[in-house]
Amino acid sequence: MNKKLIAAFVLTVSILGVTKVNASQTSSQYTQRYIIQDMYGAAFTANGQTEDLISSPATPYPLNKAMWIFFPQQTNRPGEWVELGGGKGLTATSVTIPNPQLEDQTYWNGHYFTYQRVTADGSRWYYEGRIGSANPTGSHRYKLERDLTQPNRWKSSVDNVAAFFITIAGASNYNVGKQLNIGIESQDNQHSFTNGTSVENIWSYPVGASGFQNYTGTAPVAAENNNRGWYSGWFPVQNGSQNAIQFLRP
Amino acid sequence: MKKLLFLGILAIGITIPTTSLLAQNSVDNPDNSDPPGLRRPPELNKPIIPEPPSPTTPTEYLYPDNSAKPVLQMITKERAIGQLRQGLNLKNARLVTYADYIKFKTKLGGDIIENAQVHPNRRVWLIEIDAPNGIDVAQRVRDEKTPHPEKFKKSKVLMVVDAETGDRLSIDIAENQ
Repeated sequence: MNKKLIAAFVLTVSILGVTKVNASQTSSQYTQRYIIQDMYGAAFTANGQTEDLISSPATPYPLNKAMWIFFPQQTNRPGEWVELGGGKGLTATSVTIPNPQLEDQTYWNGHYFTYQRVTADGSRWYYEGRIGSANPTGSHRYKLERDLTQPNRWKSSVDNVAAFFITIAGASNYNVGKQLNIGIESQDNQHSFTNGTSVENIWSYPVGASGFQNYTGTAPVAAENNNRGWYSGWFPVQNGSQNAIQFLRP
Repeated sequence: MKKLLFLGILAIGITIPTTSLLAQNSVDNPDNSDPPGLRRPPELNKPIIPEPPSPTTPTEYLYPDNSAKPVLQMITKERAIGQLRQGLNLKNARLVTYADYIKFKTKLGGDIIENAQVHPNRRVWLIEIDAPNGIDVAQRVRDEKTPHPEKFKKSKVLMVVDAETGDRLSIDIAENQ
């Protein structure tokens, strides 16, 4: 009897062990909503950021809850965007190797800003930078906004504290964003998130408006790779309540 | 024959509820974007909060001026670089101010970045890396119809590491540089 119990225990431990080392990088997977609008900016509050994202240095590829503002897509050219949010994962995933030493600073759990733009010959320039201190908890508000006093300049802030300002020198026009996506992005097959984690109070700055406006429309599912059955619910502004997106999984 | 009958009943049993569920969903949600029966959770019933104006200047540097501190108090170049992935070559690593990095980046690509958290006189390790065979960078596309571009071709990588704490502040990956 004891032998059987021990054998079962050893088998279970070995299966768990195998599961743990099976973490590997995947193509990006998403659950997200999108708003098509000519815009000068957007803002939203992420709840449970970043503790609702289930990841660790053992599952080191990016897991983010963020927003993306896309610029006009040029024919046969890579995408161009600015991005702001919170996440967990290696900084510069494709550049460095996770270091198991205590002093290792490679893994980042926190707020970040990224952008990508394209030159006239189609070459890309990608940037990612950390914002604030590591391991933020609770809710945080993210905002991207065009600086209308200078061409192609965008401002970012987290919790209304200034973060990055960027003047983009690519070949396209970066004065107006064309589409906003808000969602969860994962590049590791072992990632998950707290079921029901959400974002709320989504505002945008439509071109032609005098400033930020509470977004009162609906935002459809932005269909991209999603082979994990993750999904989302959109709750529009109703009776004075905020709009919100809830992210769910099977 | 009995097996065929069983399979037929099973197929009908699956098809009718599924079709009915999908039809109901399309009535509830014309864009078919919300799962059926999903209701707003009570914790999301919050009043709308007005958006304040964006801040325009740094309020307090998370990484203040440390230019007066001795170089010996800074971390070593080796620790700043860490371990590079296979196929990447270290070109050089130099101790500079954050303002020097900004100037270098602007000269290289034209973009002007300002980081409201880092004082211009903050000491950082600016690490230049060559990726002669290219490098993978996650690519965002607006929708699934847009083709996903391939990995970056031959690239230059700029890694900026805070020289006092070792924090990796940022990374630039420039294709065809």
